[in-house]
Amino acid sequence: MYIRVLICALLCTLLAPLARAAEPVLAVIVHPATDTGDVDGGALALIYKRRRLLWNDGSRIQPVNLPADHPLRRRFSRAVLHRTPEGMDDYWNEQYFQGVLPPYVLASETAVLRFVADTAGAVGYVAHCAVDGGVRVLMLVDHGGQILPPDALRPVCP
Amino acid sequence: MRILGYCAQMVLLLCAATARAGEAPPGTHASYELGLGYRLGDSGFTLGGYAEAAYRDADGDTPWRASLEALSALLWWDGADRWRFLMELELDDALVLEPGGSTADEATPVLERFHVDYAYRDPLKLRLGKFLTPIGRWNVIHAAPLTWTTSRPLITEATFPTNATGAMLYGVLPWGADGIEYALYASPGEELFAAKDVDTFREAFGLRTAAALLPHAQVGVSFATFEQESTPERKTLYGLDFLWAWRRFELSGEAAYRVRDFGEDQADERGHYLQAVAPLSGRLFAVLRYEGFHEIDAGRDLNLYLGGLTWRPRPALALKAEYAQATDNDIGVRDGLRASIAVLF
Repeated sequence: MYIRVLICALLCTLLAPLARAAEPVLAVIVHPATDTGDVDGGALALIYKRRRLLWNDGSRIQPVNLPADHPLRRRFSRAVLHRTPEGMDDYWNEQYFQGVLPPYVLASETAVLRFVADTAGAVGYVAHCAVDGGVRVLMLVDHGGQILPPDALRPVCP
Repeated sequence: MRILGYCAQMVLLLCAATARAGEAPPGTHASYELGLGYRLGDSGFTLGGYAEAAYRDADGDTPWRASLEALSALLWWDGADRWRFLMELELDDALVLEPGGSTADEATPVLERFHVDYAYRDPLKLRLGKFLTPIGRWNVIHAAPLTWTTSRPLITEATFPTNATGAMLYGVLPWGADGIEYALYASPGEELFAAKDVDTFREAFGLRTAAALLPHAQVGVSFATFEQESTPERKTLYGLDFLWAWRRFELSGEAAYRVRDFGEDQADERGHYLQAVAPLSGRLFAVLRYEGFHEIDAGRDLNLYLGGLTWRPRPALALKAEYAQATDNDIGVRDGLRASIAVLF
């Protein structure tokens, strides 16, 4: 019995990095014509907290999210905002009192791709592999939550 | 006052004429969600608010008092570009229940906020109209569903008028993890729809800035110099506030020190509070608070000790119960048992 438990624990420890590596790299995408200027992880956090509202050219930023229980949303939230979506509840309550609502939520990656491609100033995130020619990649979020430049990794599709 | 009234009408007409929000995703129709208000499709308008029903024991001659303490309606418009508008209209004591019966005669409508905002850049925005005075943390987020206790610390409302009518430059400077917030404001008095029995600003200038200096911690500094309608001598207020929040634990506090700018004895009101919040279970929190307050001309400094429980079954809903005990209470501050239910709608 103990040997089985030990083997299980050993296998879990060895396979955990592989499981994490199986998670897709996230691509943060924008409308191709948007003049974003220099945007790093901190600036992206300000955008998704609605504390930054305007792009460099003065156009309005239109951030969109995936649903709170979507695995990509949870990874994005932890990597960029350093909190789970639920951990942002108090923040959004306070913002609501100031007349600020959280980013719109779209149901799927396909919807995010379509919205960002069609909307000036839009920003969203999808799996790196799902990116098509209608959008521009602003930055990447790797398996470990690291923010990387858009050309740092090539998309690896299953 | 009349000019401000005309301005208000112009704002509403402007919003109605240009009513169109930022590019809402396709299929966005009028929708309601508790705590997120009622979005009027892609018009840019959102209607929401909050309500608080409260109970307290031993209030003057009555053994208890229950009331619909606040019913607040929020209406805002967020345009597709740089303009925004927000209005908050509150009805205080809409319904009061006491052992002798009930009454709605104490209902008092109050215009809490009415302002237009223009964003030149994220670090530089302009606000015109009536707004919450940016002194400390509590006053600008004072809505009952957002706070941990039914009662409000004295220094968050006793040492300065809670609303100002005038102009404010504000924004977020892109330095540090969360940026640096600032608000620089001036008020020439002329309070827009001033509430009765409130000693409003006759003139005010002030600055508040806040930044995340440490992980999970925000520190703010406030400064204001002002005259009030009923007490025209100039006063200067210095404030310090902080919030540390980590894994649902929270420690926060504010301190304010006010001086008179003229006269022999310049010392004036001062006070502070320190509040700790700890989770007891998934949705239940314990709250402890200590307050100290020195009122002008009072012989002794008031001390107030508060312990309470807050249950948040949903993010937009809070049920609170607390017991406060005051010592050296020369100024008649109410203590005892209080409870309330508050909801953002």
